[in-house]
Amino acid sequence: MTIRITDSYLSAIMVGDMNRSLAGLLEQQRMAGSMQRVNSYSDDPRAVGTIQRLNALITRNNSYLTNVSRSRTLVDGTDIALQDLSEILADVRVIALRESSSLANGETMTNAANEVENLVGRMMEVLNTSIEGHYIFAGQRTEDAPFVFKNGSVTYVGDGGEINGRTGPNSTMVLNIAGDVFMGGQSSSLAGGINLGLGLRDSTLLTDLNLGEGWDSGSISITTGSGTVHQIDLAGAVTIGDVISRIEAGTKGTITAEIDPDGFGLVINGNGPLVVGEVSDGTTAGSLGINTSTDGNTLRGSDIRSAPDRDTLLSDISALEGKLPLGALDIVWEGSITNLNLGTAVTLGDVMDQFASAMPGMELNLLDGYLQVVGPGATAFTIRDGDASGTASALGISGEGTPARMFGIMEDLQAALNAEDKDAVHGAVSELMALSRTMTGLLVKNGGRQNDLDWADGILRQRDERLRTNLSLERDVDVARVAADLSRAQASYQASLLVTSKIFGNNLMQYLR
Amino acid sequence: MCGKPERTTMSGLNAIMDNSLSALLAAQAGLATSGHNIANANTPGFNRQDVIFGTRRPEVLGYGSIGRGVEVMGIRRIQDEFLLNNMRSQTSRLHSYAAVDTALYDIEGILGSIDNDHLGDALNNFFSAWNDLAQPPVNNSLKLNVVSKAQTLVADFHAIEEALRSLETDLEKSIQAETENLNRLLQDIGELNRQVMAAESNGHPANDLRDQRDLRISQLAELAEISVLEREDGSKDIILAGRTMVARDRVTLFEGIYRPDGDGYTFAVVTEGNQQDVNLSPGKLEGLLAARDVHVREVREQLDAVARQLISEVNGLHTQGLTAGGRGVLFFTGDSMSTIEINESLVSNENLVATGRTGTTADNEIALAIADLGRASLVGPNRKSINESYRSVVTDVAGKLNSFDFMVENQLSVVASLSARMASISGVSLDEEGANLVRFQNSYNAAAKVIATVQEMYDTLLAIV
Repeated sequence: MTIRITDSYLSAIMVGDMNRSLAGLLEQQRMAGSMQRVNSYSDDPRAVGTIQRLNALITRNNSYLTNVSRSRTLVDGTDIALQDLSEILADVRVIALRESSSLANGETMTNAANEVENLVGRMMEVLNTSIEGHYIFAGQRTEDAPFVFKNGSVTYVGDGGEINGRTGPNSTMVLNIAGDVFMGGQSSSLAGGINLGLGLRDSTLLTDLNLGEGWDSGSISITTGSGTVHQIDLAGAVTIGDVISRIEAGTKGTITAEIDPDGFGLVINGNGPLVVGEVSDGTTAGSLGINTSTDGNTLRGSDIRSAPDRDTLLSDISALEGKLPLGALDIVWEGSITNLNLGTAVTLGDVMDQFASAMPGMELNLLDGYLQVVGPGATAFTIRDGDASGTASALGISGEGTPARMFGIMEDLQAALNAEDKDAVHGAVSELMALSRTMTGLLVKNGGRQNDLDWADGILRQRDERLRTNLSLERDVDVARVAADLSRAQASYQASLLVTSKIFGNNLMQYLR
Repeated sequence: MCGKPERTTMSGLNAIMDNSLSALLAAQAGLATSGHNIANANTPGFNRQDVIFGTRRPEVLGYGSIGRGVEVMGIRRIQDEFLLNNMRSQTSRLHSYAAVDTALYDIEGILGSIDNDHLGDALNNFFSAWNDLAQPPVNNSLKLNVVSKAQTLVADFHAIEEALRSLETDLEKSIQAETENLNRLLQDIGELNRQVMAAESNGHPANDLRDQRDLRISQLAELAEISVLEREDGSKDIILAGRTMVARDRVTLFEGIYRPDGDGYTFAVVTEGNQQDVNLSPGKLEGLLAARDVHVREVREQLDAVARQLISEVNGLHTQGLTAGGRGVLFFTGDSMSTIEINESLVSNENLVATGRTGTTADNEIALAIADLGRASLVGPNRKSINESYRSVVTDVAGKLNSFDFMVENQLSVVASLSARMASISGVSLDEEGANLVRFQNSYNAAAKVIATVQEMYDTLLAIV
């Protein structure tokens, strides 16, 4: 169809074209200005829901990150308090051991009673720790101090409530330790008395020594009775065998070293008196248990056994030498006796699993090389040998599991010290050890929460990054593309202006003169 | 068959002079029409005009017939009636879509934008405040923050409600104004019908009056789709919404009235006098009514539902809580966007905000559950969360706006294309008119030359006498 070109036709076409060019330019300028592909909801309705959802997820994720951060305040505060309590208990145990020895007398015991009283005061302060005005060991009653003196004794007035923190869309975790755990309100426990550390061998790795704490690499000095000083460089040693070889090589055979028959530590033989010491303020000799001296020709080092774990073979545990296979043990709890035969156990894990399946609700844990039995509630229980094999005794768990009574022990100890009753003072030591094990268990539990929070923090940060990336992909512009499109739109608009000015500049009237 | 030529007489020269005179007059008519076209090149609604020339009846003589010159048969408007009707129909649709599109654009503005999502942000902040409150160690000062964020949320609901109501009022004002505009156009068309009938009673078309009337009819078509019927007397009847609103010079008008509706009033367009309801055909008026009665109302109902869900789910949890003051109170009151309020007792005593079921300081079960409402509904996995319900409203509006943007853009193209075609047919081309000027000027000059030649012949004859 032939189009008749009129001025209004030209005008309509040109103005329409210019408007389209201008609209395109405006859209590109808007995107370039905001660097966002979607500015209004209607720019891309499909993307709007996604963008809003991602924005909400980012806001929520940030809340979880804040939660984790605030949870760390509580959990870290709890960790510091538990470590303080552990140190106080260790101090009390040292006092009990000191005052039950032959060196103690009436005066030292009276002074010790005062020391214990002061430590009880410190213990109260620690257990009444508050963060932002909230008492961390009070269960859910965090507004009031949970440990108070009542009728001459310390009483817990908090509750056993849990405080839950939200650390992710579907994850909450308990953040607090209610103070009744220190008063026996939650469990009874029996601390194992036998170190189940692995006996040393030539192949034992130095990094496994001291129940897994390892050793400090460096040099040691050995002084013999003739005054000869041997400085031995042990750096680079990997196993106990390497240490023995280097000591013998470094002294040209004048001194020999060996593992003691029990497998607990090292024995140094030479021309006494022997003195083993550190070099340049090092701690190598101490970490090998031989930073000591002897008047004789044989220097016996301290216990540096490595820590067992669930996979440890019972046959590798020096304390069980000659006591395998294990036999039966009796567990007396709430009026019934369970006879558990551990004859088929090969590893420590087997022992723990068989115990758990025989006694649902009770736990057999491994803490720092010792076993610990934890029973539910405040009911006491007893574990004893179940046959002639002496299995309970061999594992160090023969005895009564009682509710923890942190302040009760302190009161008993103070009374015993004031009464100058050394036997009673000594009797408190084992209960203090059990308490220490409880504290270690709580520290491990709380440490696990710290790890969980670290893990949650990492996950949430990764998630935040992923969400922001997705948001950017959905919302933001491709800069290079927008720059190119903007240039094209500008050129298009300028071209339409130029063409319009040319066309409207010419008509027949100009030539009819 | 050829006959014997007549003798040349004075009367024969007069006939030639008469022929030339008709040519002069025809050329003048052509020049005048071109001048009229050029003068109205930019007049809205003007259709270019064209002179219809015809030969005069010849004089029959013995040897045959001799032409007697030219005569102007008439002046016609160049117009394609079918294209015009199509253009009006498409214009009606364009203005219907544009009215809804503008209202949806306003609604989108009320809801916010990607970077400033008013209610969405307020909801997120409200649930975040609960999350913060829930996080141990539970901090009572954060209860004040929850109350503050709830107040902001309520204020945002109210602000949106107020803005939507204001938009409804604006739409009603527009409907009222366009109804008056429509009535004015109907009256103009009736009057122009009367003038056209009078002007054309002598049998000649009243081109310029018809142009004015067509312009009014096209303007009327922007407001509502119409049918146009032309009578033999030159008048045009206008049929709108199934009713004949203009018949010759008789006009029926519309009016906007407020009718009682529940607690308030509804604005309606009815016929004047008997106040019969009008089911308007597509056009700006129908678009404005649809924007108010369908789109704004729908958004309001959807947001009312979000507010109800918020009130119901938060209250459901909060009343299960326990505080030092007793059982948890209702957190929100009301049942819609306009009536939602935070419980006054919480504003005056933030300690009444319940965080747990036991009333102990660190019990955060209720606070955690309320914080979770932003992402999961209480009722079950298949029901939308409060945030999702709100997002649906925004997505729905965005989807509709995007569709209407698209429809308006398409319709604009259709109308622009038809408009260009109409401009091609009825528009004035200055080039074309310039050429016509030259053509008619030359015709005039030639005719004048013939007259001058006849004059010379007269002089020759008179000199002989």
